[in-house]
Parts: sequence; structure tokens; C-alpha cells
Amino acid sequence: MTDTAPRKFLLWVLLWMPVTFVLWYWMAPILLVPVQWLSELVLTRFFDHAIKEVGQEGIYFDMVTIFGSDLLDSYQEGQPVGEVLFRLNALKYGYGVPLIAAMILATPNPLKAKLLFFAVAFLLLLPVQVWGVCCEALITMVFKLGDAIHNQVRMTRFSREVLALCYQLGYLIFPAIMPILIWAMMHKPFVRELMPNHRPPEKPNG
Amino acid sequence: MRITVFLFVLVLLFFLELIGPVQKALILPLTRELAEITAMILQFFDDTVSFQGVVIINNQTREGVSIQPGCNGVEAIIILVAAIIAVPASHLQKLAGIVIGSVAIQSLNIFRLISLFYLVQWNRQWFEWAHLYLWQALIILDALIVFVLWLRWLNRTEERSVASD
Repeated sequence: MTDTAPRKFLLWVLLWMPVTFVLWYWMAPILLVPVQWLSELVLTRFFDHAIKEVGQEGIYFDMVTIFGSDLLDSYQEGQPVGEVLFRLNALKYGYGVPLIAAMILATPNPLKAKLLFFAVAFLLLLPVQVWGVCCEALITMVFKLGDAIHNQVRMTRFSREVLALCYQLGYLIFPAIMPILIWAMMHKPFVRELMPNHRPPEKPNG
Repeated sequence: MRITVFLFVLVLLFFLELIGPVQKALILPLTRELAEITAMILQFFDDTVSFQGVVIINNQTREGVSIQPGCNGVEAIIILVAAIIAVPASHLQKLAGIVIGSVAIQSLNIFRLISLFYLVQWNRQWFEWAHLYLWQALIILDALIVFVLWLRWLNRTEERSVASD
């Protein structure tokens, strides 16, 4: 492979990115449906003492909690009591989808293979998005909705620290690193050409 | 690249980054420095710009950007450092990759902050779009490209040294 290979690859990725990003954003409400299903499955199964439903409206997920609004700090005596519900932007954990799509399109392969790679990559990126959504939902309940709800969620100090770390990983690291790793695993021959496997020179004996 | 080493260093550095004393001694000063450099560049052609701490603001519109965790490029640098450490190379070669790579990432990050500073004043929806989705992808792509170029440089250097022997 010539020295221009990384430049050529980067150029193609940059050319494809506007297309993949626009398509992804336009199709986001559909692409997020499996994320919503899986997030609801995880949250209502493992945190059924806090979340009872995850709804979707476009790119936003509505977290319906089991808590009454009388537990909120902002609640005033005499107000009607409703369910505590909060909303989060689920798309911010999914920018790896258009990124990997652009990288797959920029990698020389037949169209059929590209489509197959994208389908697999899309499935592999689902847990990253679900992780981000679930951690943000829990972080919101534990740290942002006030002491009364925080106490109801029943988390030890240690679990809170772990949750904060998981949230940071899910927001700052996984969405960035996973598309690159998945792409690299899927395109090993091309990656070997792009990044020749480095071996330090062997020291002569004697 | 040794993937286990990469993942171990990645998680370790990320964990270190989140610890209070590291935040106080390293991350916050670095973020403030980043805000200052970005504001100084902006002031070359825009005298309405000022900064305070990690906030860059337009004095007339009072709109601006605050550089928060995730916007200071540190995570991209951590990923690059973990990748470089996982490759067998001399300490000097690794140091060169880390220093030059960090400068490359921060240069693009400054460009990102400048673009976001103007985008937030023009249209908040476009700002959100660029901030939450597009620039995140571009920064990590930058880290990948820096890593690829470093690896290729490493191979060329080794080839030259083998040839000269």
C-alpha cells in the first residue's frame, strides 16, 4: 500500500460523513427503536423499583418512574400528585453509527460486504447506546431528582461511585472507541495494510 | 498492538482522569489553558471575545461556550496514549507519538471550540448537532489518523535503520 493510503482513506471517510450523518439523523427515530426496547428491558427488569416504562418520542426517551411527584424537592403542598417522568436525548450515544458507516463505505469492499458489515456493526453498537441510556437514567435519579428519590433508588455509596464511573465510560469512552474497534476487527486485512503490524527489529546475537 | 494492554491502559488512565486530585492538579488547569488559547486566537479577529476560567463568551451577545469534561480533548488523548503504549516501540518513539499526537488532537479541538463558539450564537440547534454528534466523531477520527501516521512513521524509521545496518 502506498503512503497516500491513509490520506485517501481519510478523504473518503470525510466525504461520506456528511451523507451518513444526515441519513442517520433523519432516520434516528427508527434507528433508536431497538435501543428503546433494550433500554426498557434492562431498566424495568433490573431497576423495577425505580423505572416502570421507557417511552420514545423522536430522539428522546421518556423515563417513567414509579415515584410520585410529591417526592420532588419542587413539590408544593396541595398540588396534584403525578408520576415523576424525565426525558433524555438518546442520540448522543449513537454517533458511532454514522461514523462506522462512513468508515465502512470508505474501505474498499464490494457493496454487499459493506452492507453486511454495517448491519453487524449496527447490532454491535446497540449495547453501547443502551449502556449510555441506562446509566444516564440512573444518574438522573440518583444525583439530579433530589434526596427523596435518591433514597428510594436504594444505592450504596460504593454503587453510586461505580455508577458515576460507568456513566462517564458510557458517555465519554465507549461511543468513541467502539466504532473504531469494531471497524478494525471487521477489516483486519485493510487495517494491516493501513497500519503495518509493527515489530521492533531483532537484536543481533553475540 | 496488544489489545489487553490497550484496554488496561485505557481504563486506568480514564479512571485516573476522574479522580479529584488529578482533576484539580491537571485536568482543570489544562482546560483553563485551552480556553485561554482558544480565546486568544479568537481575539485576533474578534474583539468582542473574552474568557473567564473555562468559559469563552461574546461580550455583546453574552452567548458563549463552557469547556466541560468531554470537550477538552482529554479522552481522545487518553485513547491515543493507550494505543501508542500498546505498540512495541522505544520509549522515545512512544513519547514522540504521544506529544505530537496530543498537539494534533488539541489543535483540532481548538478549531472545534472556535466553530462551536460561533455556532451557538448563530443557531442553537446546529450547535447541539455539531457539539453532541459531529465533532465527537471527528475528534476520535483525528486520534485514529494520528495513530495510523505514527505507526507508519515507526515502520519507516525501523526500515531505514535496518537498511543502514
